[in-house]
Amino acid sequence: MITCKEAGPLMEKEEFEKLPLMKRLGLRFHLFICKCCKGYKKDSHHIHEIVKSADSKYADSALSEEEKAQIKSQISAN
Amino acid sequence: MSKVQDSIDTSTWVDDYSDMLYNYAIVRVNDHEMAKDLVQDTFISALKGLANFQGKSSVKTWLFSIIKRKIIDHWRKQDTRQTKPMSALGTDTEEGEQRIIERQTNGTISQIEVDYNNKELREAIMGCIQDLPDKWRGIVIDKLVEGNETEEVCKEHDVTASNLWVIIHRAKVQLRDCIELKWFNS
Repeated sequence: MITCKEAGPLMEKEEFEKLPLMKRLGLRFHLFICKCCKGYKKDSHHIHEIVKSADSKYADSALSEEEKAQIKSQISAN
Repeated sequence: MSKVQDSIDTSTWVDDYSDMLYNYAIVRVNDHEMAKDLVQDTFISALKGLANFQGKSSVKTWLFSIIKRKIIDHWRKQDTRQTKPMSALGTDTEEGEQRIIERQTNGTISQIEVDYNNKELREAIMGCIQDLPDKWRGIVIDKLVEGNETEEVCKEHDVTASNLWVIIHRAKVQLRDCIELKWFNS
């Protein structure tokens, strides 16, 4: 029997890699009977998608040319 | 100086590496000035320690190893300055308690549309990532945000794979609660 404590990390692992057969079946069965974990499973992928937006490739801040020049002069002063 | 150091042209470092170092830092510290200072300090430390550079790794790898250390130091300093109310959530709370917290929000995460151009949402997420415990924060950014290989992340943070999934799970539960709270209740 898979417990909630085990089911959570297994769901995360499954987002990235295929689980061994017994774990996969155990998790499916757990999700079938556990409302809490089933609820989380529904959100899990969406949480990941939302967290991904923290990636710097979506940021509009960067170092300006002035700031780079400042860094250069600070470096040579040291 | 030995041959390795002679062959390195440090005059182009800022032009070649400052953007990638800045991008690495900004996600992790969520503060433009702080990220800029970390980049600058990284170059200064690297130049001071140039004699110790063995040339075994590339200059880029070496610079990244320096900024990684500086970010960890920054987190430690920040930790002693402030207590984080959100870190209490998710660390050791039982599933049941987390449900109660969830019910207090005026909306659920599934109602938030994924939009990478939404600045306000990005700010909320960055804030919630900053509220994570240090150990989790680095792992979440490496694995969930930047999508690095599991093996690489485990090695970098010195955790086993099964431990990694436990941390990712707890962090995601905390992030969900934090984002819902920030997004719907403030």
